[in-house]
Amino acid sequence: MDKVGLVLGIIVVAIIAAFASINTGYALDLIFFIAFYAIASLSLNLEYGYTGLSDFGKVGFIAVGAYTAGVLSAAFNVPFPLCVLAAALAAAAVGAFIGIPTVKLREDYLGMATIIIGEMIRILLRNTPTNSVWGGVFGLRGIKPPFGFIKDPLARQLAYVGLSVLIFGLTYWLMERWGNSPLGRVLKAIRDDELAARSVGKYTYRYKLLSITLGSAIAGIAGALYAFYFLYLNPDTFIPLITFIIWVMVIIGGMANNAGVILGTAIVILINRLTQIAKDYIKLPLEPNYFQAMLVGILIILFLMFRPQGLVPEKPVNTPAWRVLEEAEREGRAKPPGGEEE
Amino acid sequence: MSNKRALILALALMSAPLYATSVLQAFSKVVPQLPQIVLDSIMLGNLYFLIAIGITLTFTVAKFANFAHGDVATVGAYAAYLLYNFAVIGGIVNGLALELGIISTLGGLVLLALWYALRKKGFGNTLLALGLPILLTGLAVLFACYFGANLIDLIVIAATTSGITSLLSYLLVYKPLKERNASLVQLMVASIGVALFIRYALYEMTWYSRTYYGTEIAYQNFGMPITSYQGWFINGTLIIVNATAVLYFMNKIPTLKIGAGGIKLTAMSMEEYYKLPPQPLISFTDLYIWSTVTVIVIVLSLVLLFKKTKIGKAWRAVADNPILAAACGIDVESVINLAWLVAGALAGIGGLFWAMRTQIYPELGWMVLLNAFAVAVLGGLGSFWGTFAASYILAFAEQLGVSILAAINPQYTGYRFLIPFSVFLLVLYIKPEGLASIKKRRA
Repeated sequence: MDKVGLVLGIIVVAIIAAFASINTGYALDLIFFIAFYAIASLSLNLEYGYTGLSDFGKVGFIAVGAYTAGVLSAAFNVPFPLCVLAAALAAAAVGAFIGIPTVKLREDYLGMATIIIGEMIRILLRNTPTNSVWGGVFGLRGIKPPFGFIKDPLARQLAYVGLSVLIFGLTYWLMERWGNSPLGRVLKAIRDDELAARSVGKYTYRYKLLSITLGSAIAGIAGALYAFYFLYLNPDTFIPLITFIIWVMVIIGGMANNAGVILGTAIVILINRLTQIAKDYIKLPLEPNYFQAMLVGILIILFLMFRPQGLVPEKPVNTPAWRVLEEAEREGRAKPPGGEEE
Repeated sequence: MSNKRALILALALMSAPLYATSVLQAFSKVVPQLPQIVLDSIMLGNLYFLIAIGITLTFTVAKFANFAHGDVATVGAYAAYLLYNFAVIGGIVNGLALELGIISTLGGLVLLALWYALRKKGFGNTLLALGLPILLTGLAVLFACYFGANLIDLIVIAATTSGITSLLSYLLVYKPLKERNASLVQLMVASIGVALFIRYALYEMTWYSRTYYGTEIAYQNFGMPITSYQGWFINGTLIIVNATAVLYFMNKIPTLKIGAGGIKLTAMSMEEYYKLPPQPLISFTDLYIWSTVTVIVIVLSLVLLFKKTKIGKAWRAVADNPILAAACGIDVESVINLAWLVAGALAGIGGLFWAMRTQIYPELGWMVLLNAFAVAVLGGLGSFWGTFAASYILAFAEQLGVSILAAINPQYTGYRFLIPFSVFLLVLYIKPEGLASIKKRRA
């Protein structure tokens, strides 16, 4: 990992540790949010960072996952692991439904289709009957907590946040595996030059479809985690702004770099939390929530303009051949290709 | 293609028995409303056209879908709303508006003078493109301060402010990004950044006005008096009555009679009005007329611009192949500036009419934008007549769909937004080239 990322990572961990020493519950909440958003931004990283797909409807897939898990748990008492699985499947199905017609067209169509499907899902959920389990505008209630047998609330929260972090770790490991596998290399090739990828015999349509389906499935898992954390869902929390917060995380962190994306997630969430704390002490003639959203917009533009690779730039693919070359270089036998850039 | 058609036909046939009874029943209820539906869809189509044509115009030269377009429209709507309601408060000219008007008039004049001095050096055209709308904005504000804002003044101010916003977003964001070789996805993400910035800046403005001036400017009616009309078709004569006059119990209600005997403008007494059937065949407002006139003027002037002037030819050349156009001596930058300016201006006019039709709030443009995308894709991104036709087709589909939904169950009208979105997805599945492909095949 490079120096910028290391320094920022240490700062982030230090701030979380400081929070933990003051208020354990708050720190746990913070860690859950970082884990939840990190899973979502890892899934966006798979789509945008690796494959170059423009998914502007991430929040819609999160909502599908959350409501699938929520309804299964609230109405049918389905246990937690099955709910998460069902959430992933449902979100993947919606992702494939969008992907089938759009990924073979220009990038604009996918962007427009996903942003529209995100809003469509929200409007559909808003218009569900209020007396059913879906709850309409009043929201979905009655989700069974997965650790309901633990009596102490803090211990229960700790158990659930620990589980979320575990799932997040699993996602990260999976993403690293995929990113460094032949699949990841094909996806990167599609992003850099689709025509070239096609010319060497890769069926790019199928890979792009796979990318958006897997990305949506992971977003669905994030949604399920969200549902079981709050035990209450409201359609109006799934507004398009959430999607663009996730985009900012990926753009700040560095596309196609999973560790960087997690760093970006932590930075954005800490900025959000710290400004919420600071607004009690500093009086500005500005509404802080709106100002934060304006900041999201400005950050997107500034990073795209001045540091499009993000805080932690993309690394070369970690393959066995590459490791052999690096070892050889360490022993002074050869130079790895592309190593001269540093 | 035939495979797909067969699939869709099969799906339609399979779902038909499920819905046939209820939909047919509802449809028989909807048929008498058809004249009203057609009128409403012309109105809605006008509004869709004004927003969607801007997306199409920027798409022709910039080649990416601009997600900030809706919020550019909101800026124009808000400028017009503020000018109409706050330029003159209680008979006294608002000092802030006066200052703004003078500053932007002078600023526009300075920019134009700079352009005149630098026009031989080659980079002055951006100054012209910025200076002219700023000067117009200033004049429009001053006009509103001293003579009161009328509709044309509002259209001018909405068009200029949105045009300036659109042009500035290009000059400050998209142009530098393009010079840095940003990809298509990055440009789209940047346009979303612009959209977020504009939208939440407007939210911030509403918050500021609420906190410091105690004036609520979000979710407000536009406030412009609107006359409504009602129409009946009796004995081969179309009778159109000024329904606002009825509300004031005027004894002479202005009435227009169109029939075999020609067009007659007469007056009607209250007794005669009450003899008419209680349910009018059609009802419409001033907005229907104004928006239709605006759209006709805009379509005619755009057609003239594209077909008859040198600028239009240069525009089409740049849209076709910018490198070749530059090689032929066309000033590509000026054409692109003009495209962003015109697209923004049309969006502003569209935003103004949307705000007058419903309410004004910072998210207005965003809500409209998603429908406008459906229109633009149905029209086949980048085609002028395709967009024109698609606006009215989609508007008709939406109005008809809403009437059917309301006839089945009034609660279902909440699903109205799903109609354009479903059309959008259907187009992507069946014919992603949109309506534009129909014309191409014949040629």
